[in-house]
Amino acid sequence: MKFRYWILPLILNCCFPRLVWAQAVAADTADLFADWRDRVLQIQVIEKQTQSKSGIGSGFLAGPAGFVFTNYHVIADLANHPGEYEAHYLSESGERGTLQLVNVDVVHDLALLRSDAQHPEPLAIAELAPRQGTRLYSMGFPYDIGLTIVEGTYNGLLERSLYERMHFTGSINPGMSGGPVLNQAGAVIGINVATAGNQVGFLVPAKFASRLLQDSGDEPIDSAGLHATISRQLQDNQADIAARLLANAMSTTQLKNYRVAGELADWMSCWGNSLQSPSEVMKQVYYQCQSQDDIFLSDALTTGVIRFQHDLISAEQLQPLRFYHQLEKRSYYPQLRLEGNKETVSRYHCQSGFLSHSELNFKSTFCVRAYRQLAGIYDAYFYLTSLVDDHEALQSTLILAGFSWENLVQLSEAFVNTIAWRAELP
Amino acid sequence: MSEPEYAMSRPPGCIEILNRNGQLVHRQLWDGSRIQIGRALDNELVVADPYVCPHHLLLSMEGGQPQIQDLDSLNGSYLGNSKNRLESSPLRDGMTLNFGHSQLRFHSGTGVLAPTLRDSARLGFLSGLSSPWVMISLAILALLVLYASELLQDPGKLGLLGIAEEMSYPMIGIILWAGFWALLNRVLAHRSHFLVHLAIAFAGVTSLFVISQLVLIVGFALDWDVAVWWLRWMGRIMIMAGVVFAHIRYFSQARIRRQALLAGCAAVLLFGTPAVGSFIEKTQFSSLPWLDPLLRPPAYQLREGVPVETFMQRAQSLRERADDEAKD
Repeated sequence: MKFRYWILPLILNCCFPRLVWAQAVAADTADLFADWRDRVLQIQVIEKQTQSKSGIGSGFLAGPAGFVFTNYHVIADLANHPGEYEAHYLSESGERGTLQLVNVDVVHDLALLRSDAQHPEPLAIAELAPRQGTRLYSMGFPYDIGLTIVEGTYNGLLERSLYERMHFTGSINPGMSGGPVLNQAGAVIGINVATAGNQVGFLVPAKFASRLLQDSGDEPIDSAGLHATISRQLQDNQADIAARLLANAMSTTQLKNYRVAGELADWMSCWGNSLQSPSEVMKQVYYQCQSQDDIFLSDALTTGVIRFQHDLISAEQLQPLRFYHQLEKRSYYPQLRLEGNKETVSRYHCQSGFLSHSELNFKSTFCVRAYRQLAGIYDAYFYLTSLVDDHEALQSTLILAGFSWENLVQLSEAFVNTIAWRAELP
Repeated sequence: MSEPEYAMSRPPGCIEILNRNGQLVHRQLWDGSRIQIGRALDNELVVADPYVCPHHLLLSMEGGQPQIQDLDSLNGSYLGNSKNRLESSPLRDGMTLNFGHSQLRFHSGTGVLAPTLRDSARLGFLSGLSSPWVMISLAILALLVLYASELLQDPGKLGLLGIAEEMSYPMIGIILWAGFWALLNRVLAHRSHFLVHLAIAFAGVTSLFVISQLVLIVGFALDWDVAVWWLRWMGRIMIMAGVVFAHIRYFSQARIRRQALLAGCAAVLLFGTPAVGSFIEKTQFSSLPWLDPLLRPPAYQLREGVPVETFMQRAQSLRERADDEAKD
């Protein structure tokens, strides 16, 4: 089943009040709320020229005095366009001030900011994960309607996730992104980051906040330093993913006469089906896989993506020239796409050619584009059509986003090398 | 074939009367004797134009020079485009005189005759097009080509009605195209030759399809994907130039070099704009790559495929291009 997380930043124009069921809050929740309410802040990203809010999230005081944690996706506009945006905090008591960006962790979606004003004692960070079933309290500013506390339970780490994520059973809503999730002692266990709806919420484990703190200096980071940091984090992360994928032989699946790359890792989600064209001439069996945890860099760019699709197309009654003409037309409308705009990535640069691999022949197109501000990181688009049968062909697309050149090449080669045709199948 | 120049013997000259629509209504030789022109029947030349006076003009020889004189007419007489009323003036070869709603044109005996107009419909290689058999064959070929193109585009089974419907649009286009050239032919060279222009259009459509499919097949077989884009547009422009040249050749009296130049310009105009558009579209930023690999059945592949390692080594140049662009 295909399911995507919803990213939470509350954009004002989609802000609308919702009715929620009144929950019976235990007395200790009320105490907890009273004790820690002044450590939770609303984070506002302000567009400088119009002085209007472009995004709202939550944050909390932790670490040295004046340090504020939130999600990277809450302050992405500020990180990407520091000249055009500024970050403000607004406490529950109505105090307001500006925040400077100190460091980010784009892989785990965290940002560390700093305020020069006087603030209450920061929250403690609990590094150890609680036991499953532990009662936790998520705080934040949902839908810009004021500070809220939500009771829920901790349900372990997500099993099929590339990056560590905690499963929190409780309502996390847009605007609460970056807010703390506390245990009964008031220590931060995790940070609100995403929801799948229906009380299924996801948290960044607090240990990543501690790590970010250790890696950070005291001073605000400049644009060049930020790009270097993000670039390094993406490089390390993609190296780790590629090493994990290339360590063992790629797992495969069978599509009729072909063997193809299958569910490569438990953090990939795969599904498939068969279709028949309305004219009932062409039959299509498809199999699609994608990584579940894309890295959000900005509204225009998501990275750290592996996605592939195999389409087995057949048409027994179609004359070969007509069949291959139809296959050619399919490539005009690519099935998979990546985000990106002129400011973030270059154009795709492509080459086409015949490729052979044991008994198989392919016509293949390989396209690559580079990231503008993050040197050494690329996206690739690999498109293959098998040329072995007059009435049946495999069309495979592989998308890799946010990889080094060497890893793009190795993963693409491994992807081709997994494909086998019936002559080679047992 | 050049023909000798014929000078008109002199005198007589020749006078022509044209009506308000510029059509010739009277032509007569003139031996230099006095000719009075007007609406009255006692004139030597009677002009049936209600704006012309009964006795309007007098043509005579004065001192060996043809002379025209206005006989104090009501509406006057005017030389060429002049706004000044004419009283009397010497007449020279090719002069025109407006009087009433009519025109008098004078040719002296010294003028040179224009060369005889060449009738392309009866001369040269294109004359074969007027043969019904050639035309029918071309029409059948074009229909087959349109049908083949339809088969390639649509994988489904086409019924008779479906085929008729799908093929009617390009057919209407072809007929309108031929109609345009026939009209031009009619305006510039008196006859429309519609069927000939239709045959040229059929031949054009057939060669466009056949050559473009050949280019694609050869391009696929030899793995020339990039070159094929250029070849296709060059081929289209050249075929279009040939078609326009054939149309123009049918009515134009201009020199062949000029006709070819005109045809080339028309073809570049017609196909150059979409070619440039297509090129610009390819070079513009898009979040989707241009995946347009040529695909034909396996049997058409002539070149061996390379191992994936070699393919990826070649891709190294793509990385450099992407890096260069990202740095800008």
